[in-house]
Amino acid sequence: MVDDQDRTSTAEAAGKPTGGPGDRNGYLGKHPSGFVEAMTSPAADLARPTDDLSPIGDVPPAAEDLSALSGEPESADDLDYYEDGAPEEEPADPEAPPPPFPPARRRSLLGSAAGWAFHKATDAAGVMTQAAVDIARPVVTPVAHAAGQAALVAGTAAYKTADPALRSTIRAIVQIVLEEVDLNAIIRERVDLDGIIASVDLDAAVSRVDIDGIVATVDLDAVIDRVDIARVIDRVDIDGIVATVDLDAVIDRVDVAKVIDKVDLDSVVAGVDIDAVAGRIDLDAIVNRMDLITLADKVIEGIDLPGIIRDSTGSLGTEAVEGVRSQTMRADDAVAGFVGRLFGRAPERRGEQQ
Amino acid sequence: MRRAIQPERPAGVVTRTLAAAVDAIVVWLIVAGGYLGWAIFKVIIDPRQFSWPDAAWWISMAAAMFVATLYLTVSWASTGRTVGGALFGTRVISSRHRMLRWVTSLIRAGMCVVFPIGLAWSLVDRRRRSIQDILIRSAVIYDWSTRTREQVDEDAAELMAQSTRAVAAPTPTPAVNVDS
Repeated sequence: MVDDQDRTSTAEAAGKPTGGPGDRNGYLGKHPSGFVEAMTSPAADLARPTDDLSPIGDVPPAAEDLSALSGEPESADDLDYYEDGAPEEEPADPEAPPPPFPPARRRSLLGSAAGWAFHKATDAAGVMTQAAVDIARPVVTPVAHAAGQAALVAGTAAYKTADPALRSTIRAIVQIVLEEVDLNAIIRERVDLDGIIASVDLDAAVSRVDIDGIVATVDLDAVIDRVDIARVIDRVDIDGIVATVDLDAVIDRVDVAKVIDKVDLDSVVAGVDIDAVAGRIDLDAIVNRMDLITLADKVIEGIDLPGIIRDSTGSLGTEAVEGVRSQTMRADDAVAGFVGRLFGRAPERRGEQQ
Repeated sequence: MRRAIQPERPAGVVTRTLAAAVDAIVVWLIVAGGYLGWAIFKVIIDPRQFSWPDAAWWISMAAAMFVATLYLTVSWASTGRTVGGALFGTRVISSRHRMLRWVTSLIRAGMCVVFPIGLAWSLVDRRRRSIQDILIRSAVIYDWSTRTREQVDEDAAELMAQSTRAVAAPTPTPAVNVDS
């Protein structure tokens, strides 16, 4: 058995580079010829560090090498080798060939060589693949790009062609389904609407709604323009509303004097078509309601005919009437004077008793 | 307080003619009203067969004369003045300065309606009397006061007393009484 010190020294003596466990490339990659020399010069290779070959094969070569180098029999050949006894050491003959490797050591070395070859073959395949890719890329890339563009165009055309058809088909299918399926009945029978509604927190939902923001976005003028006020009014039960109003309480609250003060009666009356109002009055109905006989009796009883005549006579004694009377009186006097002169009478004295 | 008795002056032909014209208008209005009332009565009685009343002219004249006679009679017997007389301030009284009686008023009214031209005599008569005034012994005086029938009679009594005293005394008394 050779210890590490001996192997190191042996390798150095053989002029081979040494390296650690990670210096595989330093030993095999940079100097592959060393392996051949080791195969042809077993004595010198005995001192080669076996751990350098272990990563190459599937089985760690260092363990195999150590097992082989420990001298323990591992196979029939090894047993034969050891049963026959170790060959006696002959005196050193410089010309004698070196002793051969044990079989296990030979297989180990062959496995390591196979691993190394596989590794290099893999590297070579990678290099070749990369070279092939580099060579094919300028050619394949435009072709692939053109093929992609063509596929995109074809896909777009297919989409444009198929999309309307699919949409029409889907609409037709949906329409048929909707016609055939009674969704209302299904919802009523299958869906627990009460449960759904009961599970909804409407207060929370409403509290999340920004009503002010919604109202701010609403064009109320447009909404009002679209509202049919007459139709709305027709639906209102005004009689019912009025029946619920306590008019007495409302009237008690009204300051009638203040309201009247604010009313411009002149403008109100100016806007009233009195003729139209009078035209609507059913005078016949009013007269029929009146007890004209009783009313006439009261009027006649209340009339003081002589008093009326006296008052009317007195009312005539206005300045205008007196002026007329004076004028006629002077006309009478003038006529009488003319006639008197015509007949040669003496002038008439005013206040003469007739 | 006693009223002052104004001197009675006979109304002239101009005033009386104007008053008569006003009275004629009043009579015409009364007749027209009667005609319209008769038409309304016909409408009420038989609306489908309604036609405006077509009275003969003499019937219309007779109706107008009747209305005028009635109107004048009531006016003179009640207050002594018609509407025209009230407007121009005249009053019809008797020769004794009293209001005419109903019969006297009726006769005078009939005479005025039948012979209205008799008013023209007041133009030449010295005391401005018409034919009717001469026949009935009435007078038409200026009277702008609003005396009642009783007051007129009282004033008439006073005037008669004054006349009596004037006949008895050589100097006439003034016609105007003083306030009491």
